Amino acid sequence: MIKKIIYGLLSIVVSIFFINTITFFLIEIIPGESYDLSYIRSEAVVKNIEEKYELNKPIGYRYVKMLKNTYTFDFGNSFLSEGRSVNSIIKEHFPISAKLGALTIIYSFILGVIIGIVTSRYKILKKISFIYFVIMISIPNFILAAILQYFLCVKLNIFPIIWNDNILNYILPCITLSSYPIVFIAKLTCESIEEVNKMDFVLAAKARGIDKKTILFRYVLKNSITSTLSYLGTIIANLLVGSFVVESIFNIPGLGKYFVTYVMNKDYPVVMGLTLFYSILLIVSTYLIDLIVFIKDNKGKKYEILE
Amino acid sequence: MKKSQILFIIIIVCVIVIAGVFFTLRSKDKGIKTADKDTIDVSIASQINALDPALSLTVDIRSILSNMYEGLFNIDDKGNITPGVATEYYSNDEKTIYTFKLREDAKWSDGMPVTAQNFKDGWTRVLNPETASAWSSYLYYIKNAEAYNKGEASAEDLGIEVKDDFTLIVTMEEPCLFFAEMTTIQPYYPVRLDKINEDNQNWDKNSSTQISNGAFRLKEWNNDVDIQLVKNENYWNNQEIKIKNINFLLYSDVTLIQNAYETGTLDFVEYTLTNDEMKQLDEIKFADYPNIRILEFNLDKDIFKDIRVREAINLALNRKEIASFMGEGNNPLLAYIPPNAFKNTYENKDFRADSLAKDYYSEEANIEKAKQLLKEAGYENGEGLPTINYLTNTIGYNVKTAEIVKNQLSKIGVNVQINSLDRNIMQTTRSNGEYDLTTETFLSEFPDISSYLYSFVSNDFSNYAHFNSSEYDEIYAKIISTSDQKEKFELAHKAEEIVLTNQVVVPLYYLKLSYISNDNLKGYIHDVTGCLNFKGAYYE
Repeated sequence: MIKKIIYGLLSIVVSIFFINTITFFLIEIIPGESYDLSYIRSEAVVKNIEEKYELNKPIGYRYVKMLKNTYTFDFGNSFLSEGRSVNSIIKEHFPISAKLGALTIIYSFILGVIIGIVTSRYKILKKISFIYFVIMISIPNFILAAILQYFLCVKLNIFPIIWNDNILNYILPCITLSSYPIVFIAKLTCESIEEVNKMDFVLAAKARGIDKKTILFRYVLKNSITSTLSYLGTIIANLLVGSFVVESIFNIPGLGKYFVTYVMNKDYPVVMGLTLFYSILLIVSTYLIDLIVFIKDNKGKKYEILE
Repeated sequence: MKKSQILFIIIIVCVIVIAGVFFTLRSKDKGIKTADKDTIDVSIASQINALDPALSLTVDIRSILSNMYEGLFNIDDKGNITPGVATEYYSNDEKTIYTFKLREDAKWSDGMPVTAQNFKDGWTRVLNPETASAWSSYLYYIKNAEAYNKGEASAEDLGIEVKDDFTLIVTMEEPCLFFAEMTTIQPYYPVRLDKINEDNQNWDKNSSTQISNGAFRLKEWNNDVDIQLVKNENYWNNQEIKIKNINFLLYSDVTLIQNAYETGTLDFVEYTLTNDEMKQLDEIKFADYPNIRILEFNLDKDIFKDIRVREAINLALNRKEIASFMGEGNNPLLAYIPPNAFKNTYENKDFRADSLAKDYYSEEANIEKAKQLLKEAGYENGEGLPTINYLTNTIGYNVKTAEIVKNQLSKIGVNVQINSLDRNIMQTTRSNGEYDLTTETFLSEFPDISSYLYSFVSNDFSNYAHFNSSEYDEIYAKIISTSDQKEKFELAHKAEEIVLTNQVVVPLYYLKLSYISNDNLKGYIHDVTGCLNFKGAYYE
């Protein structure tokens, strides 16, 4: 157990170093400049800009500086948003993406598991839900977002169109973002419930005359939830990063936008900072979920052996 | 198996019906407008790099700044200068020394008086190499400005002298006829150095340090959400301001902007939607601020060394067809400087309509002559002519233009390969000279005719045609320095003629600035540098 934890932590440090290095050189390869050339009329201006942002320094110097920045968690200032530090960008925009992500995860987990349980019990519902699943998987996020916004904001005027950071602003994006995870979780839950249902210990419990609800919640769900949990790691990472499309349609000032716009503009500090931030988030969340599943499975094994 | 097939069909039908209903509903509707008479909600920009006179770029952010700051003079939609912070100016006959008299009642939004020192601070800051302002070269008219910006002189050497709090004396590097006009644009705004020094990095983002001297001041800047301006009660002419708030909403998504306009959340949309997208919502309005789209030959390339090839390409294009293909609001450009860009102050006529103006191309193509020229150059029907590398960015209208140019040039046997790259990469590729033909969108950033002409000067950084003509350079230098209006316009015509008869560029079309707005909103102006000013705006 301790060995696993230490091994995990070590692998986090090593992966971050590699992610950093690879990202740095990838940005270096992207053609184009980090500043807008369209207003520049004199060579002197280019020189001044390169001097200001240390773009004229050799690559080795910048690489070492970047590693140092990573170590001190100070990534410097953005080129594109004059004067804003990367840390303040993360501090300002991550909570919004995270809040939306967390709401979406909770919402899709609850709804997904409920749909999963219900569909596993009634054959007809399973067929009906299949239609819903196909629609939800095949409609791209941005279309769903546009449809929801058009009918609920513009036509019926239920939700506000302007961002005010109140709960009403989160509902439509949350529904949009959860459309896919819900289906996935529901499917996963349904299948694993059916699988567990066939197992001997469930049969034994039924034979003992334990009522259906207890069997479902105490035996079946507990065992079938593992596969859903391990999928959670991926969704967390996906949702916390924020979705560029959904964020821009609903005008949510989240972080998703920064990834796309700033990579395009070769904004080193922001891209490096965000990549590192998210790698840590992704690695740690996957690692934690792994750990939870590991602990749970080990308990389960002991339990099974005892039985 | 069969059941699931039926299921799929039902689903597909459902999706199509929903999509159909969705799109028919949205194209019909024109929503209710806001009843709020004190606030204007504007969608003009989505990405704001700074609200700093030295560092803000692009015309949309310039518009926001022009509502917040005021230079020595203001410029109106006709190109006339009106008093701003300065009430009057004198210059010597040689136009080398300008003396500006500042009004004593001009105040910053925190109540402090606007002094000549504030202007000196602002200008010095733009020129300071450490600021690395892209605007610095727009101040090179001032004595020693270029040297200071290049690190070859110190700030004390600059020709900016504060005689007293309300008198500013500026010495020019060379005679400059239009320096008073130049003081209307963004890099010439005054700044509050004491506030900037409080928070060097983020002073422009907080209302406590973003102190401005214009009609409106910053109330709040929520990143990626909005920039809220409120009326500046300390503005010297504040009874002229009828609107209390302006919200610049930083929407980037087209659907969102359209939905917001339909619900009446937005009163004004400019730049953030294309003409086609605007047309679905409202009747498009046009402002007299022309924007030209041209092609530039890379004269360093062997294929374009022969002027006959360049002329053939110019003749093979049907400009009328291109303009109509680009949609409403686009007109064929038959010379280089577009109509309504500059007024000939000497004859008081538009530059394109004065006595010296003429068209260099016709609307229709002259295929026969083009073919003839190609034949003379040794490329009969385009045989032996290498494929032309046409560099453009990925913006919709540029790609569309590229396609039609390619199509038209194929009629004389010229093969074009379109190389469309992301904006940033395209700019780098272009400054490395890796192209034969490139698109250029051009709008004037300062109110002088030289703003259209500088990019053909031999050593100018934006001379993408790599045009090198000592005759042109001499004429350009004279246009800048002459103190005679008549001579200036004659020279400008001459400069245009040199560019066009040397077939340096391919003029394609020009378009006016388009926008949609609440019909009750009146009184705003688009000045001659394209800035949208709400100082006199009101609701009817």
